[in-house]
Amino acid sequence: MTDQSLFVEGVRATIQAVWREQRRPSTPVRDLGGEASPATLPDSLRVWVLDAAGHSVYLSLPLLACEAAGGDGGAAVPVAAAWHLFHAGAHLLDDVVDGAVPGLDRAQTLNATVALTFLAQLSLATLRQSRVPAERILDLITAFNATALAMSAGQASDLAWEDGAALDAYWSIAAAKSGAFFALACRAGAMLGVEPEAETVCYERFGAHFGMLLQVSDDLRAVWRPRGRGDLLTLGRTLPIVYARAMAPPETEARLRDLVPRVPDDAVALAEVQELLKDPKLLGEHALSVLHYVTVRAGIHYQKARAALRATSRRDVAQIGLLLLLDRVMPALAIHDGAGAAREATDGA
Amino acid sequence: MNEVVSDVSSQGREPCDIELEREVERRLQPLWTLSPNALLERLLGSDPEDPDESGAWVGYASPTKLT
Repeated sequence: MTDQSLFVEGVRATIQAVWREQRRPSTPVRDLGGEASPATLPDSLRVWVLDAAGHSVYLSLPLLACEAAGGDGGAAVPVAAAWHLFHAGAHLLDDVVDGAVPGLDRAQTLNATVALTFLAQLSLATLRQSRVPAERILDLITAFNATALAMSAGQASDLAWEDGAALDAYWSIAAAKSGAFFALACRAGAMLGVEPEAETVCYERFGAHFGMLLQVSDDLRAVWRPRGRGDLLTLGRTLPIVYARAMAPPETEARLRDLVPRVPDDAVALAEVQELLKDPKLLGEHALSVLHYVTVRAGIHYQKARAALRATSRRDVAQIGLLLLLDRVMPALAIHDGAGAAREATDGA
Repeated sequence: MNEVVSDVSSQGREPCDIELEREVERRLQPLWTLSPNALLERLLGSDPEDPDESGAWVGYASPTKLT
């Protein structure tokens, strides 16, 4: 299966199928009266998850990694569905923690996150129908669970974030959250292929750098094109602010420290922060400007992601799809050799 | 945290990373000649309303109600 819309429909059908499981009480529960009025998850959650699957730009990562590693794309459907369910749960949790959606009930959201995590496990279990060996399914469930733990650890550090925390803390948290999450998408897809573990690790590494690049891109947008209150409430934890505060002379650091907490309710403060961070002279002569530093770090992750794909021994057209998705994250990095990157992936294919 | 994930959090203090940083600086040379506003436009994409240029979360806003 290579057609994108068929793939997305397959993912949605898998989610619908596992969703029905929670509406079907087991025999002992039915005996207790559960059949008459079965408890169900909110339908608004199901509708949102299915709608989001249709909008997710990166849903095809597991598919492309699977095909690039020589696997049958059809088997990637339950994996992509599981990743999407997991993704939706993490996204909801982040939003409620950040206060991004004021009307969203905290308890309902936390409950939904737990439900989505377990629905993801059920989705992986449907791989039995694709004749994936039981041992491999167990490996996939383990990979999902290990990533969930890494992300929870990252979230714990994020929640414990202290004002003015070091740049190292930023990168560790980004790796544990975004890096680990996108590494999983590519690792899980590649695990359905025919290549040895060393090749799977190459795709995992590609996904990890992909996720880091996406995080840097998201942080830039949060500062200069915020999408809502959630972005403004967490502005102090974005790379441009963390770097500027780490490198700025004391007076500038104090100014940023004063401005950032006011940003959610003060458009003038936001405008001043945006102008300060753009100023090439903000950090003096001995440090890279904020935009220069952020661009170089993004460029390094972009190049490392490409290098990870180059390190694979098998060449496949699906690698072009992976590179095109990578180019899409921050097109400015790809302008100089984007087409070359695609050619490079298939040399010798 | 596994090896791959801890590797991506490194800030490039290894010699090979320093070499890569120089390479990235060189590859992106045309960007360094731009004004801050023009560089920012290039990094963010030209059309803020285009979902294709807006990262993973567009069209993906959380529901406002879960009841």
